[in-house]
Amino acid sequence: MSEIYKNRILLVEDDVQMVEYLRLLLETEGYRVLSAGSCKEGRSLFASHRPDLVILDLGLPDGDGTELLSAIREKALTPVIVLSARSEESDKVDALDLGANDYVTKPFGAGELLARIRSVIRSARTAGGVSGENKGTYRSGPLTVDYGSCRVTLDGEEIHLTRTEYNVLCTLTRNGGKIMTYSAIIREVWGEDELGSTKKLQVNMANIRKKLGSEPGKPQIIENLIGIGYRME
Amino acid sequence: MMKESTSGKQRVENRFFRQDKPGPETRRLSVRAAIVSASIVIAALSFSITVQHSFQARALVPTLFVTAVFSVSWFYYEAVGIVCAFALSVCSRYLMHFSFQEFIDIMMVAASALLAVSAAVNEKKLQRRAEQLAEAERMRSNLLRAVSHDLRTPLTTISGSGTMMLENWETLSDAQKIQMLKSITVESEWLSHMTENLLSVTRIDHGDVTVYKKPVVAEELADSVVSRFSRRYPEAAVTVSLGEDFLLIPMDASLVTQVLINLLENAVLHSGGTKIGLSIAASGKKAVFRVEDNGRGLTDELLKTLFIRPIEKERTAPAADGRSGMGIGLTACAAIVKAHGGTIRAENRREGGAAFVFDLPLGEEE
Repeated sequence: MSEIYKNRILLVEDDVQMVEYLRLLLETEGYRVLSAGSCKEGRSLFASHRPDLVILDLGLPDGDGTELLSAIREKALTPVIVLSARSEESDKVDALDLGANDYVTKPFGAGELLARIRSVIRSARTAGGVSGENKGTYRSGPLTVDYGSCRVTLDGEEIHLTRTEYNVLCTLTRNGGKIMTYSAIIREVWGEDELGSTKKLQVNMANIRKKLGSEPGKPQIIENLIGIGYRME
Repeated sequence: MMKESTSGKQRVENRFFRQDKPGPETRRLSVRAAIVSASIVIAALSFSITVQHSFQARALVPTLFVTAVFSVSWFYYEAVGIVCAFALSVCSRYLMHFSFQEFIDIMMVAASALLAVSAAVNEKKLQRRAEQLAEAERMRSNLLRAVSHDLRTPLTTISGSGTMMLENWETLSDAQKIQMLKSITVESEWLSHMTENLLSVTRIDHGDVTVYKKPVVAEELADSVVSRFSRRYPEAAVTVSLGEDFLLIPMDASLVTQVLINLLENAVLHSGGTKIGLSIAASGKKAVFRVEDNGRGLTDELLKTLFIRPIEKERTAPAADGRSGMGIGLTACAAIVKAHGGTIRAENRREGGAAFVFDLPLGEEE
């Protein structure tokens, strides 16, 4: 994060204590913070300042944060992290499907939020391009994916994936850092989200995990978020 | 503090509260009810006619009618009983040539029987209902008492530490300040954990509520649980054993995660052991989960009362962090497992240490 140009974060949150806490936290990290206390204020600040990241609370006084989220997505690909006290999966899935990049449930640790912010900003900058583009390479840790030759290597050794498994993997790598919901992946790989698609996806992911040699509990290359989807750094 | 927006989809409660199944006391007017009532009426009628012809005795007949009305209104709504009373009386008048006066008599008797039965049945229903409510209240107040106890302690620490620091900033040493800040952090996390447990229990401990299940991959659940657990307890050594096969288990993942985290936490804080094992395997129509440790095991007394009610502070063995009380956690575990249609138990392992085992039905594929 050693840049002269400091990232601007728009905070849309109505709870005063939370805003003060986050402002302190983020400014200490070197970010510039703008804050809005309602959807309306958030919308106008977003339009006038074009921040690099939006942290959006879902429980706003003048409406559901998801409306603001859709409004932002209509105009820009600015990364959005959604904050909410509700831990229901359906809310997370909705927010992610509407275009949020990540979701943080209150109460959250400071370290956790900062890490997510860094990750989301980084992946927004190195976005894997339009799906279908068959060039370039994805590299993250021991994993390398060569889009041109459709080869996947782990620590130099080639991994043999089926066509479908490769497509699923690429959907994740092309959207590195972003949580891909089950339906988002299913639509990219199979076109339509039908009954039984989720299980197909889960089986494919299980096979991919096995081929990548991951063990439950140990650090994973592909993070699984139960009930929501998957994410690759 | 959090203001939730009222617009937008209200899925929070609906997800957990499916329609309550109608209780046994409130049987509805159904085809089955009609058929059974009709059969009783016809049986009474035929029997009466037979008696009348064979024995030339009409004395038994009203008794039979009354019995028929009695049995029908015992099981079904009184309205059905009234209809039966009337029907039987009409039949008696016309089919069996009772006089008009006798017809009235029979009606009266049947009506009295009807009233007596309704009164008795309602009395019983009310009594049963009152008992159920009292039991639920008792459980709830026990739980609340245990919870407020478990919540007050961390709150006292947090508030006390904060106040201390504000009032004595100059005089406290850096080490003391750091210690207090650490306490505040740790106790807040504990509170957060306790709140989650409490929320689950109050959602579920509602009688007939069923949880909203989705198929979850066993391996993904294990990974998610152990990662989360390791963040909270980085030094804990958890070994995961799963089968080779792909295993999908219908469940509410966030609730079952809580159960596993509670069990793992108990193993770390209360077992006095060094290693923890988590295993998930399919066994017939069930998925069996085991959390085992190599600690000192459970006393007989604990084994008996572990899941029945929140354990009083005096009984538990002192924990690694000086914190006792396995109460809420295990109550929440039992409630969650039960709501899934599973069973949970604790036992001592032959090799030493304790094992907490629960199963969830694998059910039909979704």
